[in-house]
Amino acid sequence: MTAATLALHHDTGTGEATAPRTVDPDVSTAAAGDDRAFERLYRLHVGRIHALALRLAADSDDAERLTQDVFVRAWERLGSFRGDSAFGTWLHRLAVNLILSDRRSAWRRTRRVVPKADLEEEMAASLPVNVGDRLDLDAAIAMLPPGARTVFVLHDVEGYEHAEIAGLTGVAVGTSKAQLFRARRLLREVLDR
Amino acid sequence: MNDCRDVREAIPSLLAGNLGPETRAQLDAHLARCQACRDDVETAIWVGERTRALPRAIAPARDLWTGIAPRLGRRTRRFAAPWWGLAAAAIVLMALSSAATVALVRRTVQPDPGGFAQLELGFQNAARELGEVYRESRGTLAPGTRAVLERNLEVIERALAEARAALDADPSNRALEAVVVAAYKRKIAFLERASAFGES
Amino acid sequence: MIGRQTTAAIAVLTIAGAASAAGQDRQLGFPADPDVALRVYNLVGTTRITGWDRDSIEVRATVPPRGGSLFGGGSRRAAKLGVDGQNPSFTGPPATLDVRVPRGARIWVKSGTADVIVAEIRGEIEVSSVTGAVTLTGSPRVAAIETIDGNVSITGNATVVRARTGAGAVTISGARGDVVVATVQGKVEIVSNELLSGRVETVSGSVEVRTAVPLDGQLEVETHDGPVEITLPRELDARFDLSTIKGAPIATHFSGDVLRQHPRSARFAVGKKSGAGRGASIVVRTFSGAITVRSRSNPSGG
Repeated sequence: MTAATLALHHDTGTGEATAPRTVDPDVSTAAAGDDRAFERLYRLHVGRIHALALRLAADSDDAERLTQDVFVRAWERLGSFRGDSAFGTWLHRLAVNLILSDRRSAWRRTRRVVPKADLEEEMAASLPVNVGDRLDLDAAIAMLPPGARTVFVLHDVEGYEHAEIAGLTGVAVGTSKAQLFRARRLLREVLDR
Repeated sequence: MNDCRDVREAIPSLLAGNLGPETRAQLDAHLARCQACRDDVETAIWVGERTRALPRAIAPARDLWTGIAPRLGRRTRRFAAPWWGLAAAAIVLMALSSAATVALVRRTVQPDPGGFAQLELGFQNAARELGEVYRESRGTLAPGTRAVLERNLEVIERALAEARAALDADPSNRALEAVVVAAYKRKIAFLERASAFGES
Repeated sequence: MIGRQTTAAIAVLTIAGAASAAGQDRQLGFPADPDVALRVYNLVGTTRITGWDRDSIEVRATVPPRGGSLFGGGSRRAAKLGVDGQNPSFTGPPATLDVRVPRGARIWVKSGTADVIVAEIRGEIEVSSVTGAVTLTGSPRVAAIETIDGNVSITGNATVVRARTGAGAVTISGARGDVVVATVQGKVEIVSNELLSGRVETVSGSVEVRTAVPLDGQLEVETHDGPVEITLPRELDARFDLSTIKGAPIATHFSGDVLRQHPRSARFAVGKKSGAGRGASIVVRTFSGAITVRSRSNPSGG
């Protein structure tokens, strides 16, 4: 199968035109309504989206629900994907928007230490097996207050700039920067005791 | 590099090794005299090392495709009722722990950033429905528990009434709108807690 | 006598059966992982949980005649124990649970009127109570305490603190990380050498905060008519945003640039670094509660 090529010169944000982007054929096929192609895209990208949802939501049940919502929304919006960024980038941006919107409508502020489901199920559904610092940092990120957690995940983990974070979250750039510094201090406080 | 704000801005470049020698020297001079900035730089380095080791992808514990596939191809429909009514229903449904139904409601309702009046109507609907849920469950509560819950609820309702009366007297006051919104949220949150007591 | 029982990966471990007329004085121990997830149930009486440096859980319990029955079960990773079948109207002597757990345990405690006392835990502790008082000392990573009318006292450096009550008073001493407190009418008192992030909401409770707040730190207080009194260090870099709608004119005892728009609204900054964009953020909003902000050389000195 030959790759579908969009004859577009697109802006990478540096003001430079680049060579035409080749769109993954599964994207084009899925956009035409092929759900098997979309399933392949799902399998390719689900880990990345789930990691983002898990870190932003700090709850494995919510993360699963949000991950599903992201892919359903992507399916609905696939017609608007123009190939001017990589599909994964487009999907990631859609996921950030959806997850933050969901978080804004969440009422609860308190994170439960041990959710009400059966304890053994909770262990199975929790973060991956403990390997040195990796689980500790993810668990510590989950303990951060929501605003600081969002900024830390988007900035330090996902590489967003403060201006982008401000646009996504509605907070001022200065607030985003302050949140980041608070988040790093809290993380060190929790992990380095 | 004159002050702490400049240092804070320079930390990403410092971590990436992109600072020129002159800028680096200025930064070091500031760090030598500023404990707060030294702490910030050390913390950024300490956290950064650990963050870089985080996995970029984490597979879900189960295959989520089974919950996605049935939803593909369905066209999103708007219910006839306004979004705030369903938002209120969603809150009640959360109290009843029907996760699948809540997901359905959330997905099909598009929030409309309307005015305060719509917002308040949503809160009132939510409070009324949660109040009904609580009333249905209060018979199962110990008398002492019921008494303390309702005593606190009275305080919350009195504050809401006061704020609402103030807004009635000064309807264009945005600060008062914010106070009323906060009072409603407090009432709804407390009713959720009170309803949960009946289930536990 | 302590009876140790080894467990398989998932094994149900029953401590005791039905209540007996003679009551129960029981002790039991079983192995547990350092970060075991533990649920403890005791609605009436006293529950005491203390961390120790052993990979095991030990319970000493006294359950009075007709006052319920002791139960327990689980594995090294997750366990639960407590007193079942308690009648809230029971007027006899209360049940007491004395539980030793690994310091890194993650513990969830359910109480009704039972007082809960927790000490020397470094992991996570969550308590749900109606009128039982909760007293926590030590430095857990997370302390999340919820009561309706029980008083809450947290002493030590818990990094993440969440406390929610109705009429119960909340006293937090020594926390340095992130603190969120919500009450309906309960009084709130927070004292610390330095608090990175604090948020207090109450309807009618009085709020007293005595702490330093570092650069990039934040302190937010919101009340309906509860009075607010904040004491901060004299040497401080901070931006203030204080407002009350119907309360008395705001009383501040700081020098600095004061942008006073109205006696009931004050926005100003103190310290050089706040001008350089690094100051702490102090926000207080009330409907009709009085706001007082003062400085002293050692705010947490009492």
